[in-house]
Amino acid sequence: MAPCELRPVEPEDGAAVCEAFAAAFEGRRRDAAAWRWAYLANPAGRRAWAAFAEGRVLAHFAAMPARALLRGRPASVALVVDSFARPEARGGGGESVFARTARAFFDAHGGRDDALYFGWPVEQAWRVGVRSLGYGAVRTQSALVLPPSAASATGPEVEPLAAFDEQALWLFERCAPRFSCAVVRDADWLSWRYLTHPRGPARCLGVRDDAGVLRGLAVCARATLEGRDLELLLELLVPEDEPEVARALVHAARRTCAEALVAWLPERSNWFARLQSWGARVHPTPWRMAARSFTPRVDAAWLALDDWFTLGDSDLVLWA
Amino acid sequence: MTTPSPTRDQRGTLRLRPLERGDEEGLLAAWRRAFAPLDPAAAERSLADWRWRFEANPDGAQVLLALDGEGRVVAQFAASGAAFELDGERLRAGQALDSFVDPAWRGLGRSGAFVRTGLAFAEHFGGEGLGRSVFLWGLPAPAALRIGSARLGYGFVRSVLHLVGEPVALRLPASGACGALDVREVAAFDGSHDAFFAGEARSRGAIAVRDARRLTWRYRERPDAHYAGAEARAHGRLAGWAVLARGRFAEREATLVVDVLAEREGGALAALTAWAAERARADGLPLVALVPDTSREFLALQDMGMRVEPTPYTLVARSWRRALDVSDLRARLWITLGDTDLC
Repeated sequence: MAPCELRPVEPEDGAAVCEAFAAAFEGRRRDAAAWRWAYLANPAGRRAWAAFAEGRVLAHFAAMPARALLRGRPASVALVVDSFARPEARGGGGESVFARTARAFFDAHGGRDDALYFGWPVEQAWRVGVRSLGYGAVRTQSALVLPPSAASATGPEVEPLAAFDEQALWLFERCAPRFSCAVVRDADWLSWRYLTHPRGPARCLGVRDDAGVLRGLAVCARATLEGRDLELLLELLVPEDEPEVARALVHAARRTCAEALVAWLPERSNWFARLQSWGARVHPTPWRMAARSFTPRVDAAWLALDDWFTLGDSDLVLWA
Repeated sequence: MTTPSPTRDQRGTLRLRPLERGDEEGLLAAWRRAFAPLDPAAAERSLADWRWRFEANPDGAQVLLALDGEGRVVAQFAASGAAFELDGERLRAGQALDSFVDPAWRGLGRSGAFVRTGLAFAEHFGGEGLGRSVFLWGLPAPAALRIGSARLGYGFVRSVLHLVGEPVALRLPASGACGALDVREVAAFDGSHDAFFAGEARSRGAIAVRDARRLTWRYRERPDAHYAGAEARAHGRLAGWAVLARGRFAEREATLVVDVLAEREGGALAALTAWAAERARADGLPLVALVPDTSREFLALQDMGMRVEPTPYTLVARSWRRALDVSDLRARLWITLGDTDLC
């Protein structure tokens, strides 16, 4: 194999990255609009490295950074996405080109730009990550599953949200003291994540008080996963002392024609217990959450204690 | 030798070997010193309990000790053996437990006593063949989890969730309303359990053998332990069984469903859970159960009104069989409280 160059991915590399993605994952593709959204439009920036040879991408390692609070302090954390190597670039003796690409990525960004990397890697990426890249296991991912409901709404009024403003950050800051680590859900992040994605805006819901201030918000999106038509509860941002707001939002999310409403919420959060009291069942998923920390006294086990990483933080439906 | 080792400066004189007759008192004294700061109650383990777990276990046990220059135990890596059934094959496995290092010998480096003992254990007891374990699993404490993951080949299997329910809130068949099922408390396990296990094992993945011999050792012969057992029979045919104990789990005093095995159809699980709930109600305690989150029982117990909560435990494993990957155990390793040393 020709010698390769390891370097950051630049805007003009988008087509080559998308071509390599299609080569690496048979039957799947990453279109240019989705690539630009993920890597050029993220308000927190771009993190992507690739191994290039003769104009082609051989391997790719990337993450989507986000502003976060970690131990109550501002930090950057990043969701690892799109880690792959072309079939012909896999295996062989010595360190693989994929591992070299990942190491170059972490050498460039780990600790300097980002305090922590996390994700839900597929099996092969998990193996390589645990064996060679310092990944630790945070948890096996469970899902809360609620049947759809046509029942009339009770409790606070839920309204659609067409945009996010400074009130999103106010709301996040009310919720944040409970979180050991969480992506900051401000207007910039929420807007980019849920309103500007090429597949179209997600269904954003809110509850306001009499003064018009947000008391809670939820975000849903329809997706087909493993052949099932599901409504995904990507966000549920509600202070713990407002259960009636959360219940109203969840109820509104359940008013769907999908087979079920699915949420990923940390098992130690009060909402994990509350959704069960509202009828949710806990199901296993094939996913495991992994993390690599560049912060002292923060590791995967610590992260599992009080984090706030939900389905909205994952890339499970980013590209669907 | 029951007195503590004064220093780890003699690291070079560390001797690693399997347990030998006569080691028990010194081992137990060292174990108590190591665990007393963490859990005074656990550190009260008696020699009788130790002998039950490590000498009387019908599936054996594996113990590797580290001794200082004067023959004092300073570290242990151990496993309580269990025969497992997997895809129709019986193989030897076990729970890694009771691993410790004397506080004076603690250190995280490669040459630390704990790591050296763990590596020696793997060399002596890991693998195929007589006296060896094809795989080990465990619920390590956080410090042991970190060291084991970094140095001893621990692989992450899954986070451990459990189920909790208030007896009065559970949706269960009323007493006497279990159709053809007859639920009775039993004091002994008999040959019908052997056949029942053989039938159930096929659908359970990797499950420790639950025959009469094993169940008798586990639930009838343990010193100073009190377990209540019940069977559900349909026209005399064993359809399921369960074992309960009062105890503490995940920071909660509860009536624990220590073990349960029931047929898929016929309502045996519901009938046995109803029995368990009645006992819990009489105890004035919540009911707690631990079954794999990938099992049908996990959903069935939720349908009965139990809710899922996390535990502080992480299930890890190490396999010495290439075809049995730790990732495979995620969905296949059948573990209940009865398989552990937690109750």
